Amino acid sequence: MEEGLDSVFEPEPWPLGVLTMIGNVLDRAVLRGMALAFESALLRPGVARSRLRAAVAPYVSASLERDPHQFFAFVDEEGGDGVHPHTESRRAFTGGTIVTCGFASHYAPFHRVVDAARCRENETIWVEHWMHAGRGPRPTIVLLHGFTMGSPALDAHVMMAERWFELGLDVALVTLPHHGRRASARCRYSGELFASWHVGQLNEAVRQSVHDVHLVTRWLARWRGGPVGILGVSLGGYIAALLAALRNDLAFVIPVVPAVRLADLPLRLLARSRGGFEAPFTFEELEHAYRSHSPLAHPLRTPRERLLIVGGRGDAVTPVSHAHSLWRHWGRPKAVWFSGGHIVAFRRSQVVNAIEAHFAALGLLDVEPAAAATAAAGLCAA
Amino acid sequence: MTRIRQDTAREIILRYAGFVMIACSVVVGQMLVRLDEVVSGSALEDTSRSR
Repeated sequence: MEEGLDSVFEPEPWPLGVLTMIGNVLDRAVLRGMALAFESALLRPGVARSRLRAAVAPYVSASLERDPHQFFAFVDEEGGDGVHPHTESRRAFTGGTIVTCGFASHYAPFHRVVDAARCRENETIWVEHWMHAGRGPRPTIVLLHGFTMGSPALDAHVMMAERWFELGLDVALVTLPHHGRRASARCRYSGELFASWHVGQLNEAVRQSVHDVHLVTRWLARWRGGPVGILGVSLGGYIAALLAALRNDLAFVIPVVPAVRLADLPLRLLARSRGGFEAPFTFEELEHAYRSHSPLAHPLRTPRERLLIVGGRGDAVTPVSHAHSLWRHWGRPKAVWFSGGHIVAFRRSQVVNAIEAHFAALGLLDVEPAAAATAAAGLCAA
Repeated sequence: MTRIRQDTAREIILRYAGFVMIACSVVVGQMLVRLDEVVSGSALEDTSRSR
């Protein structure tokens, strides 16, 4: 566990402490693997240091410094009623239908980005939508995957889509920019063009993620008529946390082992790499460059009772101290600090029970379509 | 994963080794989670209505 947090968390009984330690050790192995896997692509930029530093300027203006909400001004704009996805496939599922559909992103960058990040594949937002039979409004849980994920089959397993569906929620698995099918055919792995030392490339990828999820959630709310909330894991937790800060109409937001300080991970990976490359930025410089989209730089708009933070006590990939910073920034909403790390959650039943209790407290479970519509109206009015 | 931008064979091998390391950690972790659930009796309750 991170130093300094001992006084915040209830001490774990020793068997659980051992499980947390195991989770931490496995995370460290993952970090070592990430340092190897991403070294040639992520840790050694093929761009001159001077160009990397010059790319920061548009994202650290005095105006953005004063009001980082400007970076996401599109969330306050009306419209979007004309958004219509195209259906790619439809298949029957126990109790419903799974529809794979694509939306045109039409994302306009905040600033012109390097051409390397542009690709046709990224222009379509892919959503795997699990819908219950019947036309009445239902609550929908939007699931946002982590960095390098983006395969709906794997994401559904990791984020327990089937469980939420069986509880009565519709499920929407959204593929984030540059991941899965949205990754360029030239990429070595899913997400390669998302993370980069090029500040413009990463900032635009985060901004596009918010843009695309915003577009999909608004469409879901209109089309299904029920409340819509978000559960995001790791990078998905970062995007979920940002949307909690930018909007007030989400039914729930659940960041799970969320990334909160994006400047942290690349520098820690670099420290684990085989050496020979010096980071083009210090931690403080990167924090400053990413400030416009840091969840800690935006005041919370979503009512606190709709939030639930889930953190792993031994998380070595996105340290629990970061999730804890978010918890404090949001005024201490409900939170679960489980035994384990980033990739392993021991005693999952405690986490799942907490999430189900959260849904129940918000009136989202076992409701008839008419009641769901009432709940939606209440949530939107708050 | 494809060979692009003149990646050397060494870089490709290291990349695969990294992903294998990540996958092994995940698999070992999931096995330990299941083992802990069996030992502690804390398995997830089955909510399935149809199976």
